[in-house]
Amino acid sequence: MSMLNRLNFLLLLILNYKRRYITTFLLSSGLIAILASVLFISSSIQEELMSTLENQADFTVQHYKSGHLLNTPEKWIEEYLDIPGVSKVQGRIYGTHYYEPKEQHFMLVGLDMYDVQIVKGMQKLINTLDIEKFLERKNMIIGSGVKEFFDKYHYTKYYIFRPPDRSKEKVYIYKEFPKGSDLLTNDMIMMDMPLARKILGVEKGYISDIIIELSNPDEYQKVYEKLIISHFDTRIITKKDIAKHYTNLFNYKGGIFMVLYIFAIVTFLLLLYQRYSMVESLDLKEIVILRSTGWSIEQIISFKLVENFMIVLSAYLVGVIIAYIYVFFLDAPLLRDIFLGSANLSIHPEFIPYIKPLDLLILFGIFVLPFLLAVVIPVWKLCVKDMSEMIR
Amino acid sequence: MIQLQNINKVFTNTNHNSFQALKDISLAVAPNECVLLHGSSGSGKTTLLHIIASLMKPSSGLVEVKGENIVSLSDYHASAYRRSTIGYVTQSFYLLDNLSVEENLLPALVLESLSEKEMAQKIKKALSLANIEHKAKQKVSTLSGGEKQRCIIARAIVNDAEILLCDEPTANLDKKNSLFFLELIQKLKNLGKTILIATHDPIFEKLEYVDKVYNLEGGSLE
Amino acid sequence: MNEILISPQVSLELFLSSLVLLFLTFALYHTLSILLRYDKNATSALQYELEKRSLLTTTIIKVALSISIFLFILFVLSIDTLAELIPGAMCGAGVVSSGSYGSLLIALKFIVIILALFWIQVDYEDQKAKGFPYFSFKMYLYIFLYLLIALSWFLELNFFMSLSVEEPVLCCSNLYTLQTTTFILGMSIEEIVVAFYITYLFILLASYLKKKVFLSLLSILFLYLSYIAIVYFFSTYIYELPTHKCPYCILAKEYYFIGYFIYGVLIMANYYVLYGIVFSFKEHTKSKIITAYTLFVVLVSFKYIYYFLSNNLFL
Repeated sequence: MSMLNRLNFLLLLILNYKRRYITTFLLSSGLIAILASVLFISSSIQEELMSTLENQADFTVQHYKSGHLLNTPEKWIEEYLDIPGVSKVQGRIYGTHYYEPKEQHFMLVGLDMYDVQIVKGMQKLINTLDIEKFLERKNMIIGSGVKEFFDKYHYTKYYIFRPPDRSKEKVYIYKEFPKGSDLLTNDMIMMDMPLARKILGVEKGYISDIIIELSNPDEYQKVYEKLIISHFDTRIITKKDIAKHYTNLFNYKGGIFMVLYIFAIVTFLLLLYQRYSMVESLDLKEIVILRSTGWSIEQIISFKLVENFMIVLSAYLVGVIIAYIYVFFLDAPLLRDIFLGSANLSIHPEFIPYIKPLDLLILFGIFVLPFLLAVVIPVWKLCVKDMSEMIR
Repeated sequence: MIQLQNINKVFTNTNHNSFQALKDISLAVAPNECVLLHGSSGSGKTTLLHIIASLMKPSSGLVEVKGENIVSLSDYHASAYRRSTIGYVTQSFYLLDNLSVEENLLPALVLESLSEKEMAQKIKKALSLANIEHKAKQKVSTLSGGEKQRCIIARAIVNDAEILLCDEPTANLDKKNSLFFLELIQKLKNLGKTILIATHDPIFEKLEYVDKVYNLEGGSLE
Repeated sequence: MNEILISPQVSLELFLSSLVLLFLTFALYHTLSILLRYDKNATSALQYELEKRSLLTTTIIKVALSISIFLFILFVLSIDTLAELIPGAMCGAGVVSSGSYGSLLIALKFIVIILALFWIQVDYEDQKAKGFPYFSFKMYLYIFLYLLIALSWFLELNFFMSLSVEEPVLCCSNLYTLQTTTFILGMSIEEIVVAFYITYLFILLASYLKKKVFLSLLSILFLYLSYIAIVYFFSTYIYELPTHKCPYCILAKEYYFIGYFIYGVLIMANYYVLYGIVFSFKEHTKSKIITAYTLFVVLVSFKYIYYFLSNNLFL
């Protein structure tokens, strides 16, 4: 009961003396909002990438010789089909096309339209097409970043590619990739496989790489071993490798987090300094009242610590809410370019609302707890002042 | 009720200069007595009150209140003693200006395990006794000097403390409010309280209900 | 830079635990200076000054220890998420086994939590009682606790730095296999489980009779037996898979985070034992000990009994 009474009294003080806490509250919630936005964007992108990964192939086999990546022999597809546990094997053709005048790269992907795709995202895309109509002439489907680029340089109906054999390939823009797949398809151009082969100069009997799907995930280890021993000049990328790569990518971005955290620490040290360098007369008055009415020093210290904790906790909650609105409703203008502003084309994604509980815990741990710890000494100093100094 | 024996208090500042505020003070206050501590500014009256309220420890000597030695108490127990036994009326108006009159009484009650209803009853009784019940919901910042004083008295008596310590209670009051204060003190004495008033205000001279007067000068009793 | 060290959860863990250690070191310095000046017969004025100083120390310690409890939970969550980065590790078990002194670190953290909770209680009892009867005990206990926390910090740093994202590790099904594991006195797992229940009954008896020494020895034995019984026996019923033996997976959301309750109750049970021994079983400690241990036994046994009743056989 006494704890509840004390809490009510504390709330009464906070609500009636808002001016005392306003600077701390605003600075803290602003800081949290920035940190939280960074974490939310990162988690959202990571989650989106991870979910697309679900639809990727279990293994990707590349031809790797003397440290160079070469085109993969198409005949390996038949060999891999014989491995027990493998349900589907597909060859892929892809590469980058370089638009020299503007130093721009596009990712060119060639698909066999009539084959069922292992990569489910691609299959979904093909399902939306009238394949016969698409194959009537040399057509391509382009990402939103590519479209923006083409529009800018007036390639509104078609674009002329220049393959390595110095010929010209006029390819018509059929349509744009659907919205929501921006992250991966933004600078992608998709076309029929033979056309892509011509444009990228991939010789007959070869493909860029081979993707493999398992019928039974428990066969994973066995198939992996068989793939390794089938040819010694291969590089085998597993789904787990890609997942780890994405995780590390965002932990590298975590380097940016560290800079932001240092910035946060510096700011809140300033906050502490501001909070306690000038002891307000109200604080002293409050201590005199509490001491003279029978509060022990320890009780007053606890009271003040809880007070600080409540202020910083509410700032944390407000900061998180502001960050949520900023990232998931306003699509994080300015900040998103740190994550998505690659050397390539611009991206206008919508961030999927996804928050990892660990992110919230990290935020709490990086701000609220150190603040509480740091505030102990100034609070104590205030509370143990000699009464004769305070009461006049 | 209150027994002081050979109380000495020496203050030492950060430059290691010491100053003896109290020199060998011995006095006694019986239950239900009203005692004046008379002395000019700086004579040590406030220090003595702080020691009796256990807000400060003497450098040496014994303080017994209701038979208990309060000098050796830890801060936790000293505060519990203060909460239950002492009502302290400060010289300046130590009140929370943005809170109402009745809310200003809360610090004296929130540490007890009382229900909201019980707290409200105690507050009502104290405000009524101090004759400030009609201003219960009003913000303290809007009160006059005399009203603020009554609010402080209400806070000092809300926990039914047996002992009331008043430090220069009329220093910031006009004559009318000072006289009202005297009436209030008489009322509280009639209710059985033991009262110790530190003052140099001549208005307290020759009051019927004052049982003893101690003169304090330069830290010593005359 | 080491990929493990720059992952957000690990960098936060190390940052906070370093900060906590820094403040605890500050508190240690003051503790030592107070202990050197502490004199029961000194004047009240001096005692009062010392008391005010010690309040800073005890407040720092209480806040820092509370944060340590948060850090323990963060550590448990972190090692589970690190499993994604370490090849072969499917859960925290693989991560802990791959780092240097991983199991020792976990055990140490477990003990630190119990002692931290106990220290906070001792401080409360010391404040409440007259004459600071536990003052010296509290300060010496803190010094001991500080040494454990410092060791834990050092081991933790070592642990995270030793983790590798290149070398594959074993997972729980290989780590906790009965074929290669031997227990105390060469007992079989069934004998361990029987010993577990017998020890529990003796703990109840010792608590009821308030036998301090007996109880303390039994509680230590019970800790060991609980760990073995949970990992090699009870957890298989929670996972409903005889080959899945793991002390970490019971913390996962697939199993309704039951692990937190199980380990939490075990921590509280040991804390009550410590409290009972030091404070002579006052204020219903006896019933708290009995309740905590009984709750723990019910929590671990529940799935096992439920499985048998549903399927009429054991795994």
